[in-house]
Amino acid sequence: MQLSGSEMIVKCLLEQNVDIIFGYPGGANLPLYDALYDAPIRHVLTVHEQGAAHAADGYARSSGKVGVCIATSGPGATNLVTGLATAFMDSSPVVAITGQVATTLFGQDSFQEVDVIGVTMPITKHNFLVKDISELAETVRKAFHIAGSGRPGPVLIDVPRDIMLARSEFTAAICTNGKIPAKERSAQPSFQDTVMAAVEVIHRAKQPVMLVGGGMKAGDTWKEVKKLAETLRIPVVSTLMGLGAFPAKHPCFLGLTGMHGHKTANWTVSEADVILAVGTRFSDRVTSDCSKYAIGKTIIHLDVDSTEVNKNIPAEIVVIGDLQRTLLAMNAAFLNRPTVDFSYWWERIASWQKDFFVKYNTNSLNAPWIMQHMSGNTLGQSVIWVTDVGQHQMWAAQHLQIDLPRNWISSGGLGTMGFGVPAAIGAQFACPDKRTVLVVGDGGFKMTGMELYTAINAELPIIIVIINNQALGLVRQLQREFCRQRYTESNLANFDFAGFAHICGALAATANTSAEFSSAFAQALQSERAFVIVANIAREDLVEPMVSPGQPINQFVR
Amino acid sequence: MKHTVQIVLQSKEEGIGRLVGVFRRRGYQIESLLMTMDQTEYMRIIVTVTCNQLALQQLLQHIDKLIDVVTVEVADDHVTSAEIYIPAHQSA
Repeated sequence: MQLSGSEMIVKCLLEQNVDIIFGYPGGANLPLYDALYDAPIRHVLTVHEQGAAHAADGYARSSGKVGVCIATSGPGATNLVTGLATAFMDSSPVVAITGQVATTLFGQDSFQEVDVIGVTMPITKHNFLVKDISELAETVRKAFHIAGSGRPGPVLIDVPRDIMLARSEFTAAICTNGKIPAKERSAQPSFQDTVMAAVEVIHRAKQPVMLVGGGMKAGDTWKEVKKLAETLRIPVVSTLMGLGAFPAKHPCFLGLTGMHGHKTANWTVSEADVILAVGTRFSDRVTSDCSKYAIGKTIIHLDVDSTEVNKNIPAEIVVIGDLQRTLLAMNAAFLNRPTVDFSYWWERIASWQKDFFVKYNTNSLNAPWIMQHMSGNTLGQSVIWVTDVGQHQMWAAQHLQIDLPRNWISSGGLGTMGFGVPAAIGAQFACPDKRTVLVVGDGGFKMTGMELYTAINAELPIIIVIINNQALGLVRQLQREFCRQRYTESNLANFDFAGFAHICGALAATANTSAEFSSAFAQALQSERAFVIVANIAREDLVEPMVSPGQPINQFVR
Repeated sequence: MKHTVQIVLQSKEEGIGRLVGVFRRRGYQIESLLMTMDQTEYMRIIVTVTCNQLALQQLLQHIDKLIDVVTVEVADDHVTSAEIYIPAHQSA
């Protein structure tokens, strides 16, 4: 059948079961929008292309499916950049389709011409420039396959306007996952031998710990990790990206590890003799000083991406490949072994838990209490917790009780302020049966808060909790510790967030006390419209614990 | 130590830029680079870099991860890199 390039793109999106895309029209992608006019795909018009990219990312993270965003050439495409970089750093499967000036205008510095392939090369898993209509359909199929397979990531397809308009023969395919030629791999030790070596090391360990990361989102990996932890009864700590992969209330779970990790979790890692790292890349936020992190420890590293092993932390045993498969094999191997007694190790851990127990006061409204209150009041409900970046994100990571890997959405690797509002919109679209609660700072909300208008237009019942300390809190905290309390540009003037929410059409409440917050949150849970709670907290509140920069992770500034 | 790496790449225009980007981003200085189109569909690239064995292995992994790369191998023994003398300060 003869189709235009734009019609082919739509057909290919339907082949991939895409039912929603986030985007913004313009000159170069006008043909694509024309094809979308009567296509059975919902298009969500965001306020800004950055919002479209983050929304596609939020959609992908919460559903596990590929998120799709589209933008026009030039500024439309460059506005996607932060969103693509965010998805890239956190391995989120996103396909971005950008319009491009016609091939006849290439290289002429034409109106709205930007070399978006060059711009996005370092922040995408792969990108394509389509210069021949006969390659368009297969390129879209390949893009989806690349985005969603192996270690997921964003893929960009740049389609010139004349290719969108050109007509050619189109042959339908049903999710062929565009074939990628298999690569020749250097010989690796056999899978079973490596798994057995790992099992042997854990079996001999005295003080082992399991470190789980963002890779745990793949498939049902989390179930295998839970089984392994329960069989061995070994402590589990999580990176920011791994939260939710292990049930927060599980007795083996010690919480967040890293720069703002729980003290018990960090001490457990520091004192461990074996670290079983599952789907994590040992980022500097997790290890602090990587030269000291692994001293005296045996590292077992399981990951799907071979470039992540021995990059930051050298590992003795490496198993590359699908995590679920690796963990299944480990679980099977442990079945026939006698259990190991780690009671001495657990006694030590219990003593840290006792020493580091913190009780938060309820006299003044504070973020740790807010997180605990929200978790406590949504028990039994399926909630997707979304955060922006900053102090509120750390408080949320430390104090929310997250139960499933896809119920925690946060910008980790790139640390993108402004991620929260649009990502929450994408998540709510992906999971209409779950409640989406966004925790955001006053600084981050201002960056992309205009997307609240998108949420209202789409009638999304998202709950937005603005932790308002009238400051760029984490910047201010760093200035307090390391810049002699010279708060350059980190104190913000107050802003009427509730008034802004009302103007956008949302419901809003302001809370200055715990009682006011309880009441507002109860109202928000009942609301069928977007509900903004402005929680005013003290500017001086700090994220604790905090590891001293460049020091081992059990040495804290506070 | 100086190493020679041989890469077979799908000959898309973007491919060479993407490959060179990996060297730059991961902090490897390209000392020589030879590129030949050996079939219509593929190009062969020979690059020399100086790094230790661990860094070389990391580099190979990063290159292999590129979608356009068909094969990548260390060719220290059987490929001599082409060194062409170009005066650094040629007057215009």
